[in-house]
Amino acid sequence: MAFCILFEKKVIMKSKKVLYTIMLLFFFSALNAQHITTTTIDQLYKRTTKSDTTFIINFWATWCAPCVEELPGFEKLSEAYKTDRIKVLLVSLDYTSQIEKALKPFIKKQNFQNEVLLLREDDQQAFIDKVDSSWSGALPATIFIRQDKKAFFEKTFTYVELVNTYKNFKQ
Amino acid sequence: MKQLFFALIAFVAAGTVSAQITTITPGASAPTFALKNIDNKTVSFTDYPSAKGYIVVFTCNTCPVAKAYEDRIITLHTKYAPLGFPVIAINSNDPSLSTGDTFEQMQQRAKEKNFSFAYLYDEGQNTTNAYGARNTPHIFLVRHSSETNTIVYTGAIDNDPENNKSDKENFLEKAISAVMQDKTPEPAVTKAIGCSIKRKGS
Repeated sequence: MAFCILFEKKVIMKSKKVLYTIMLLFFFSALNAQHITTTTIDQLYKRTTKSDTTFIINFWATWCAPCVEELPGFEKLSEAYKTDRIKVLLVSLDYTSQIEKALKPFIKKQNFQNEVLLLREDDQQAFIDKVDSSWSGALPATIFIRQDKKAFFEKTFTYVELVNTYKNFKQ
Repeated sequence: MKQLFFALIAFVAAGTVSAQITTITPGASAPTFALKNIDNKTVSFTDYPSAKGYIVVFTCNTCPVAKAYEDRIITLHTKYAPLGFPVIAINSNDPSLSTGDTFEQMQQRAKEKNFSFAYLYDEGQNTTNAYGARNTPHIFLVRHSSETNTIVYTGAIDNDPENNKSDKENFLEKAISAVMQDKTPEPAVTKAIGCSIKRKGS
């Protein structure tokens, strides 16, 4: 009997230790885990309605060299015009298998000030046309949206081009 | 002054050309070409006397999406060339803007991957622009009958760049089967995410 009680106590102590370890691990992993919000094209468009903010939505991927090159320009633009009603959304089209391997380390390294989202669309045909019917699917691509006004660009922007396009669009 | 005027015209024209690349649509006749292959021989449609059609692939050495499709392009040629549909791959990037796409790098890539199909160098990007290829890889399926070459399908090989979907749709293979049965491919145009073509003046 005494042995049994002793044994139970030991088990309880042991399970408590396991519990604490799990809690501690969970705490640290929560600190470490990077969360990337996913979005659909419809959800993106929904954010732009009922707002007089100019949304600049850039579609990019870590595997796309010209995209990676132009990304700092978008960071610079939102910083330079931060007193305007401007919102830059950097929407990644990275493949699911690349999220942990490529996308998360890249985001961590770049420390983007603009919001980074991950596109979650299964049907390439449908979402490409939904963004713009003139889009071939080539990356990078960018849309400027303010309420009903929309401009689509299948191109790589230099910073100067980006500023000029924004100024023209804003008018 | 006159010179300046012409320079200005040329500048404006160059800008317009790069901005207005339109992709040729199914039903149109396929632009002819005679381009240098990796073995230094010139290749055109007429070099395939028994062809019923051609799988024209605008691709490159450097785009990760194009690279992900290389093995599938090799398989397509192995499977469909004996049936009369050879692959003709064309590197569509300007090598001065994309240094991994020089003629020498093309030769090297073809050797590494053991390409059994033609891999052509499009000097000046005239053929890429004539087809209006927009991203890599961009497919143009051509039907050949007597003297005519007609575009019957443009777009993607399939809807699965990572090659791991259980419900993959092989758009191109479906289009080839349709052509073999004298039918019109459906869909005749598809779109896929790919790399922009590195064009001079864009």
